[in-house]
Amino acid sequence: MTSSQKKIALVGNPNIGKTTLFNKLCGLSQKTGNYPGVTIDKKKGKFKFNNSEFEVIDLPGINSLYPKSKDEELVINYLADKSKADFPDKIIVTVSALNLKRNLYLFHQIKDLEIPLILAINMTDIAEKRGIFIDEKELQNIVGCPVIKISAKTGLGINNLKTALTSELTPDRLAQNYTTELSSDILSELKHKHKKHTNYHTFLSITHTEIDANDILAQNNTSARKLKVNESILRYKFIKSYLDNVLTVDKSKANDFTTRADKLLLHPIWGYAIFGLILFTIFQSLFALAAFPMDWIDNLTTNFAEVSKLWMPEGYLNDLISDGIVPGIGGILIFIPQIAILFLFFSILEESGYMSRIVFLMDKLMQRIGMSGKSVVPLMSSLACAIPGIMAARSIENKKERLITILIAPLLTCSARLPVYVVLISLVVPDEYYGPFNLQGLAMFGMYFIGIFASFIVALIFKLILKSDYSGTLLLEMPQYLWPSAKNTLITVWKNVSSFVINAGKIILATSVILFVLATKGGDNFDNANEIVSQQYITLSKDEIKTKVVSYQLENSYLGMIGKSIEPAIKPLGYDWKIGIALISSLAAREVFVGTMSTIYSINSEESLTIKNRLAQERNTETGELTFTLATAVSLLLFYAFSLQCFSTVAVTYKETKSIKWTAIQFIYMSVFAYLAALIAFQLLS
Amino acid sequence: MSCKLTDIKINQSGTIKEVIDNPLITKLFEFGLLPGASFKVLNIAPFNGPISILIEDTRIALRRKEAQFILVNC
Repeated sequence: MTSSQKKIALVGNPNIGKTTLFNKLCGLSQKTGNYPGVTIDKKKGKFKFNNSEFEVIDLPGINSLYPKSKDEELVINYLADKSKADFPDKIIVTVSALNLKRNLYLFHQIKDLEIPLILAINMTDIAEKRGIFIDEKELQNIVGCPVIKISAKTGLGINNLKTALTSELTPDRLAQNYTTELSSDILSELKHKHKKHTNYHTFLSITHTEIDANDILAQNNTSARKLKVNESILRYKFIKSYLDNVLTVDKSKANDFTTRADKLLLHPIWGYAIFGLILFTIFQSLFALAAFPMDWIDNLTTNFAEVSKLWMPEGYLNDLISDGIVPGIGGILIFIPQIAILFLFFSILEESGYMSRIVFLMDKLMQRIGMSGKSVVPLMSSLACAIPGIMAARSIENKKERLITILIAPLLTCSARLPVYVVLISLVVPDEYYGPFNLQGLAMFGMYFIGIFASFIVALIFKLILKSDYSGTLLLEMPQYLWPSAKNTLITVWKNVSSFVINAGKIILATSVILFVLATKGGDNFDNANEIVSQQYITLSKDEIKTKVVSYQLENSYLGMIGKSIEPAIKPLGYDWKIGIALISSLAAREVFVGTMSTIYSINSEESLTIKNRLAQERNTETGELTFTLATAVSLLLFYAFSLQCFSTVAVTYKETKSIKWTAIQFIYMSVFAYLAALIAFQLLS
Repeated sequence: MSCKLTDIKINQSGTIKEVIDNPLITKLFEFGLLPGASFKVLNIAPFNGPISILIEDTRIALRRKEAQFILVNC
């Protein structure tokens, strides 16, 4: 990073189009975060303007500097510590013209932290259509910092905003308007004593009881709580005192579409029916639409492996690439259509304002099983990937509700399970129609249902076990309905898909190379396979011996030894040592299962087949029976439905809960659950 | 006369009279649920679910548990 690069932080309430502004400023030059998701963690991007380079940090939306959720705590810690290396040079506080009064509350709090800042009023175009006019010059005079009207969607005012960023910002300090109990002299004194940066930061530290100022509070006949309550009253009073001078509302133009739409969308019956219909549409598209590109990708990978085998000089490297790396990478590429579709829908639901309605509709039902309406969004994200789901649980204020949401999120069918399910279902369920329903589609729907059902049961159990506290509740703004912007939606989809492919791809590439090496190296028996087999089967023809040698080699490779050593533990579940290898290698990430299976079986077979056909032909080397019987496939499906085979999820649970205990509980309960379910299923069916 | 916000029916409006002290009073205030603010009840979720109200120009949803602390003119 060059020293001339300026760091800009975007701050604002939720639902004000902050992410749209971020996309508008940075376009596609965003650093893809570690994990896909909507607004989680700090997101970074870059842009250039008039020869200056800017790094933009998009922070999660917060309601105030009084932290009630993890999200808010993170932003506050980031903004409070000026000594940190990544502290922003300038801040853009984004507010919505549709919701000026409430958004200005947060603006004034941040302004009092005395960081150079610009106030950007977003959605001014929509507001003017609805009869809301803002005098930004007047507002600028009152608040003492640049005020710029923008529309992040259309690009209106973005150049003015960039120009303002290039100029020197020296915001005026307003008179202290957040407390009357403590004079600015008292705060200044405490500021120096506790080495805080501003009076307001000192004030915040007192109200968070980080600074012990009980004597001074008592002298001034107040308490930390009283200070906090009075702050909100005083700030709204101050905003009210000038708001009429800057805001004109022409009621005749008011558009009450949102209220009318809510009458239907939040209706006790129709509201739920519509939500159900939306969910149904999402899943239909996931399977009906994604199936075609998924087939293409599968065939393409198979063909690519064949071509690379033919065109490259023969040898170990050729085998490594065509039998190890290419099938492994194919296993990840096959996710792309479904992830893209899922995030497309999420992004539309989020931007249109419907996500908050889901929270509203589902809150009471979710409370019955120990969660909050706000758990629905993390849980729906978990249908794509548990990682953004667990991170999105940060917005839940109540600690118990948040913990339960995190603990059960990985039970929901994430997209990493899909390729495993697709392959296993296609092996045992015929591709036929029962009335209008495709049987394989129904089986897939059943797997989703099992995941949801199990998560609810487990949530209920945790609800009964865990102690409640009164650390938070549900308070949320229901934004006005807006048309999502196509460009913004597509950027969100692109970002999520690319970060998924890059992150999962790294793991898969590494595992497929390691697997290939382990499968093609072994001890003495491996090296002398040719002689041992020819001595054992003297009567067989040359070709038959060749096949025997290959399978003997695999059995005696390092990989085979690992698989064999765990065979006793997994035999009751109906698995042989080859499936054992796949289980171990997919401990880091479930999706590796398919890649491993295809790697193992390509080593074992002469011709290139699609994964499905290869598995369908697989027979037990000893008994000659089909490996994938109904009982084995169902047992494997249940195992993958419940087990926590995803190191990234384990890591993110630890990161979010900061507790080894809960991370361990999550891993153990899921593993035990998976083993028992698979055991019972296999024993009953075989 | 004063009653609780939970007693107000859909489409009725009024002004907030007082917010009884509770652990979440600051949050309620920060969302603009302040004494003197005018409101209108927009939607009520079934089975004693949350209430959505229009407060000034903002739509806010809150649970009945917290709505009980809000006393309104009626």
